[in-house]
Amino acid sequence: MNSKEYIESGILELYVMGSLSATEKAEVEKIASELPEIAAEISIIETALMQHSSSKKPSDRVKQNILKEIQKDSTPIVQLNHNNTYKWLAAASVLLFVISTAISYTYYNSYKKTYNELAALQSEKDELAGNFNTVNNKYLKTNTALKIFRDTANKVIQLKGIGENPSAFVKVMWNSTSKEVCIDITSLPTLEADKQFQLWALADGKPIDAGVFDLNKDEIIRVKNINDAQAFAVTIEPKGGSINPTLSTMVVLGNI
Amino acid sequence: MLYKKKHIVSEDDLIALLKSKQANAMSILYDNYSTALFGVINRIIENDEAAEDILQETFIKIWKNFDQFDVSKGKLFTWMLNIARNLAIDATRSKNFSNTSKNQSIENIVHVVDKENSASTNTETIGLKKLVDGLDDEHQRIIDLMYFGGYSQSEVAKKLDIPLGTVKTRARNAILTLRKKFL
Repeated sequence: MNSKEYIESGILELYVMGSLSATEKAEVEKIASELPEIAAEISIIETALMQHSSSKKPSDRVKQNILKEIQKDSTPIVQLNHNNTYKWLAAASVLLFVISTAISYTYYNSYKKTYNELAALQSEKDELAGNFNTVNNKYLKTNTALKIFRDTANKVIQLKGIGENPSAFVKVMWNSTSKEVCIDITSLPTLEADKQFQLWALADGKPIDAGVFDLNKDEIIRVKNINDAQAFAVTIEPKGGSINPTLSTMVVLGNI
Repeated sequence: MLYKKKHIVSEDDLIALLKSKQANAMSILYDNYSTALFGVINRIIENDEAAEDILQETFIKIWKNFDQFDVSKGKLFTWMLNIARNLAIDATRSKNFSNTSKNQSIENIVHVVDKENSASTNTETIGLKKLVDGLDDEHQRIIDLMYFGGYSQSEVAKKLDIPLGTVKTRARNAILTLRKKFL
């Protein structure tokens, strides 16, 4: 039987209407899968029958009910007729990714630049603050010194170098009211690490300890209060000072 | 004409989507086949609302049993047609339907055709007349029994007392008439 005879036999019509036995049905299936003209004929018969029974449209509630009913048993919605939309979406998301990466990169660079600039400014600020502190300390010291020099209650005694140290020179400021004593070093010899200078007040021929000090020309050095004195002298003593002055190491001396 | 495939998705694609339980594939399936299946159900159960209930039941059954549908063993439409017909026929046999004059059993389908053969007019046959317009009685009956009634070839041959080959020839000619009208 050729395909024309097969089509004209009417077996395909019965196949579509579901009126064939299982054996006949399987045979039609086999032939339809081998011969496209048979498959095409089946589709035409199907369409004709579907049109024949399509005389009335069911109400919309049926579709709504069905979709509602099956919802709980379905996998998430996937768009069917919009393959192009997917392609566009994919392209758009790739583009978006590229753009956002570029923007991120730019922002990262400018962040890095800003961060470095900020760090530089920070260290500059710290340096300036440090400088300011140094200057401010110097200013405060100078101010203190100036106050002491200007104070009319202070007697200024010049202690001049003697013996091996003719160039040594120290000023002692002795406040007659408060009895405070300050020293301003102009020049003194350098000391070994285990030695210190010690100031003595000479009252009625007796030496009185007025405190020890190091070689510091940067500021006015405050030492012990002295009630009575006719002269001041500085000796070199072991670190921490001595009870009695070592006369052989006397550096400067000045009478009031 | 009401029948029109609204969505152009290949049958294979649609089947694949239904197998993976995509709800929107069901929406397409409904749009493409509901009117044709409703016509079949409505031919067995005249009451529109009752027929719509069966249509709903049909689609839900299609959804639930879709894993049982085997592409190698028949067309999608034929498989769904069978489900729709069986549910409709079962419904006419159930108690709820037995006393409702509006519903037609399969036997009634044949009777309606028979009545139409006689000259007496019947309100029940008006829709049918319109439906089968263009088919002569002989062809009308073949379509009624097979397409709407789900009768097998041998059952039809027996019922109409004609040879098996004649059943096929008449079915062929009946559908050729429909094709001339619709295609």
